[in-house]
Amino acid sequence: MAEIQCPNCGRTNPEGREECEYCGSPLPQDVPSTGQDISAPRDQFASPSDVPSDGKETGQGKAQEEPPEFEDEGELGWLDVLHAAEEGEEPSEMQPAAEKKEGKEDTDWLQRIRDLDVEGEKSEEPPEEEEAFPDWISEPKGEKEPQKAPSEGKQGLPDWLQPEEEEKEAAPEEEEAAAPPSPEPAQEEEFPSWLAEGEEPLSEGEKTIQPFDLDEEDEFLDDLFDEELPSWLTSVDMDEETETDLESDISPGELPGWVEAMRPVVESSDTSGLAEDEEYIENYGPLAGIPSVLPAEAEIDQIRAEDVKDLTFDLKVTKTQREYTSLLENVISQERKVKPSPKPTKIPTQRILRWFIALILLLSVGASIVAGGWGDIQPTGGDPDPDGGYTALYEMIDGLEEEDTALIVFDYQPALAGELNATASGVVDHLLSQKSYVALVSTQPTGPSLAEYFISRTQAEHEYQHGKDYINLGYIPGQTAGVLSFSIAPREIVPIAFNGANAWGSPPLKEVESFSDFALVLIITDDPTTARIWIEQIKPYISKSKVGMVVSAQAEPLVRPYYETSPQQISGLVAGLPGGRIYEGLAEKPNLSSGFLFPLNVGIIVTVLTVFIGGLANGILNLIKQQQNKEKRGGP
Amino acid sequence: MNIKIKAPVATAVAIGVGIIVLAGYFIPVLTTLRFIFLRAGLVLAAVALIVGILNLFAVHFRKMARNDENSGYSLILVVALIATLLVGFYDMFQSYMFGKPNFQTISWLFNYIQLPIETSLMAVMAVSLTYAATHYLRRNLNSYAGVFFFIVLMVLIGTLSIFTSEVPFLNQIRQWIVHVPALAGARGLLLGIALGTIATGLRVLIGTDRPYGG
Amino acid sequence: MTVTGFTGIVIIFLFLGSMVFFTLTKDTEKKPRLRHIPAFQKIKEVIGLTVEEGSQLHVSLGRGGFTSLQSASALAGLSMLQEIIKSSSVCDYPPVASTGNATISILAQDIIQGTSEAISIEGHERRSVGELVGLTPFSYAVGTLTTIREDRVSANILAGWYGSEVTWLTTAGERQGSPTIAGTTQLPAQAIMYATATEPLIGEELYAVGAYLGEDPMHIASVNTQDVFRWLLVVMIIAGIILKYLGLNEFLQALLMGSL
Repeated sequence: MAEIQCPNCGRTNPEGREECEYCGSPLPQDVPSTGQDISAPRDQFASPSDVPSDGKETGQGKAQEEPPEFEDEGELGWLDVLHAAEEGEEPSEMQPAAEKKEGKEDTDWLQRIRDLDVEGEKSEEPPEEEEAFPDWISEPKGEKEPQKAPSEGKQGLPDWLQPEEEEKEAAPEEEEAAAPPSPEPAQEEEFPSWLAEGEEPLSEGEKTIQPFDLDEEDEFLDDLFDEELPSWLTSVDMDEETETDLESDISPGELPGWVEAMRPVVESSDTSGLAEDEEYIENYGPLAGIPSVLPAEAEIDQIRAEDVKDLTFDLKVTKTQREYTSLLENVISQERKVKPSPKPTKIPTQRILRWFIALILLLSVGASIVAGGWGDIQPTGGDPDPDGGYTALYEMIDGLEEEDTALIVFDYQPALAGELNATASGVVDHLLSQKSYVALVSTQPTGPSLAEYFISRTQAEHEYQHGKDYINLGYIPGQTAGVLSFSIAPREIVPIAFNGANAWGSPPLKEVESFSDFALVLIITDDPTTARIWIEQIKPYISKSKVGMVVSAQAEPLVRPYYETSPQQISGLVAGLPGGRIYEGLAEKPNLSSGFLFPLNVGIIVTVLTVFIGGLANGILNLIKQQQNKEKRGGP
Repeated sequence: MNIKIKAPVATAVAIGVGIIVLAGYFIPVLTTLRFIFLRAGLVLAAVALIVGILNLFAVHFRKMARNDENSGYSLILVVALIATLLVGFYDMFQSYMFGKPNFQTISWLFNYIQLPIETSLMAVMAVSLTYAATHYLRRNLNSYAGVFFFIVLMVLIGTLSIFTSEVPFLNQIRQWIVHVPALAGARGLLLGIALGTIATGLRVLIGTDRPYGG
Repeated sequence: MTVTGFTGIVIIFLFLGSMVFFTLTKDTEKKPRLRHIPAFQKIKEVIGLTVEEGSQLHVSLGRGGFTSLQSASALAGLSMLQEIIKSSSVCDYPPVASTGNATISILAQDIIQGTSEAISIEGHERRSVGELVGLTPFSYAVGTLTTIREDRVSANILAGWYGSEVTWLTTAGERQGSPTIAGTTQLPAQAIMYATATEPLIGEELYAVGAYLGEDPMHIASVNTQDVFRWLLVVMIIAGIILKYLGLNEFLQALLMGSL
């Protein structure tokens, strides 16, 4: 019984129906039935009637009006139509193209490309299309002979294909003898179009199918790559409507009708009819119905450990193999365990040495304080160095008058209070002896408490009263920014005192309107950077005032250049306990520095001895260790 | 840097304020504007201190809850922080409302707890530094380590007041070391640091380094 | 405007122009040629080791503030933190950051949050922690000791502003057997770091963090610019010495004072 295949959905319909019973599309009346010319629907899909140049003619109408032409056009590749459209030809003028074609190679687009290549070599200007060819097409351009060879027959095939071809040549004869007498027509329907077409030469008496014959290959490539058009095809000058029609015909995710037509009609995964070596029928996608395709998912995923355990293996393993197996098992099991990070190797800390150092320092310094701590020791160098900054500071303070106000900056850490309180005590004592007003300020949160401690403990004899003789302005936040702001407008930045009182209404600050109204700025600090901040930020605002500094011994090397430079950035400097002792000598009034100098010297001596002996011992130990390591490396 | 700008506005504000404050050093017209920004900066710095203390509290509160070997220290810190805060509020109330002398209770805490602790820590640091000096040759034994070790000893001896009056060259050696090679090296380092500071500041000013907003 | 002010503006603009020039003319194809600094190599090593061991890095940002001369150190420390968070994002434990300054603690939190979001680190437990440990130098140092002594901390990177108290941090790392890479711009602390740290960063090497760890073009340009200006300073110092010997020091002094 003859059937008509729907050009749209590819399903077969009984002869005589005008519309497809599956999709409702009109059916061509004169198309050959399935099994006779299976390539027809594909060609019909791509026929000029389906792709009208003016966008008005429908394919159906054209097919019905000119059935003979349609049959001829069945041989015409649909790509040719597109080319025709590009060349500005009307669909009705496609007839010459059909007439021209004696064989399929003329209508095939790949063959046309090759023809163009050949012509391109002859002509100076290659066709524009050529430039748009993908690499994989244009690559063999220069190798025309190898390309043409397959179409000439098996002589041109690669060597590795020759034996197969020979086998195939022999096979049909044997198969013909062994095969059942009449294969069912339905089996023929399962072949893709390119296989169906390949049968034609067979029926014409050729004994073998030439799988790599150029004609067949072109057909195959044509089918294979139709879905994704090469870029040069997309440049075909089509009307927008035509493009829309095409897009609507091929909706996303759906296979074109002609591909559907190629597919074997197998609707289930029933494997009963499979051969012995065929285990699986694909159910989904374009490969649906084809047996023995590779499954999309690896089946190994479906194997569970429990299933494997149940399996018994009768393996004959040697002892060594068993050992290797257990070793592998161990390695695998260890992989899953979380290893705790290895404890780093600790360097011996010489705890005893640490305790010994602590003990000997404590005992020696403690004993020096108790025994003769308050004994007077002359500082290094004997007489005060006139260029050391002590004398300059002394003279500066000595020149202060009773109504002058000095600003004292307490910018050191409580930890260094031992050194700096002692160093500064003689200087501040001299300052308070002048009966000058004093304002205290700090850029560190602990500074205000430290200042209070200093005034109340080291300068108790002067009986200075807060708000009357001195004022504690408290803490200025912001470090550099705070110092700069305070220098620009002290009254605005610190409006109230440490205790909440009006700072600028009190006697010490009554006469101070700007920063330069401070007669002296005395900065006490342990940090060279803090010293630098004060020096740099207040410099533009101290036209009338002078700057003195009391620093720790540690900061001295970095602060001293500010005194020694020309012009001077600071007018006087006292550094460390020895400096404090020198100042006290100038003031002829021993204070804390004088008392602390002896314990300091004892501490230094003990430290020098400890460092020398300990360092030497450690150096020798290191040397011995290095020798041992050398011997180990050099040994067997 | 592959870091997205979370807040372009923050970047723009930071760059703008930075340029004005910098230019205020050189261009007198901008001094007033610079001062306004500086004052705002001081307020922010003070607020940051409060936020920092809250962060300190939160960190140690978390550590306290962790129940590990250090959680006891965190407990002490949290308790001390709260106690000091309450004492501070009490003192502030006394001083501001009744004109009592300057924060006497807080001063007591400072004088008898914080100051001795910090001074003791400084003493411990003296021990640590002495130990580090003795241990130095254990870690490094080469010519540089030898020079380092020798210089440490010479500077320490030169600081002494007892013998140097009798042996004056010891003090002179110390003075030469401190004021010539050490100071020259320090100056060189400081110049390099100053250049690095300028580069870092400029990167912040032009917005390539953004410590604000990630 | 004084001569000093004018000189300042000129230097800043020259510096900026030089940085922009080096950034624009940088050959992006070539790897930048920077001198070898062992400390940065060591930082890369300890980050790799931390990932391997599943341990934790401790980044100490020091106690320097943001509104002073210490700010450059603090910024370098924050840069270091940023690069380390990026590099160690696959660590089992995120790096822990400690600081002794309130402003820097806020900025550190910001850096941690911003960087973690930028490299898509999900969940707070996977993000670094920025802790304000103490507000005075010694309280900060003592508070940081507990972090250094934690078993899972395998390396310490100290980058910021410190005083002499840094000796506790470096020796604590040594006692724990964890390498300590330390850098600061405070000279007394630098001397201690040189003697006690596993790898010290000397002087302005601290500012080269972005160039060495992040290979950021602007940071590399900054390093190049610093080198140019360093040479300029060398020439100027030598020229100053010669001028002084020639008796032109008074002229120079008047020039610097702006009284000409």
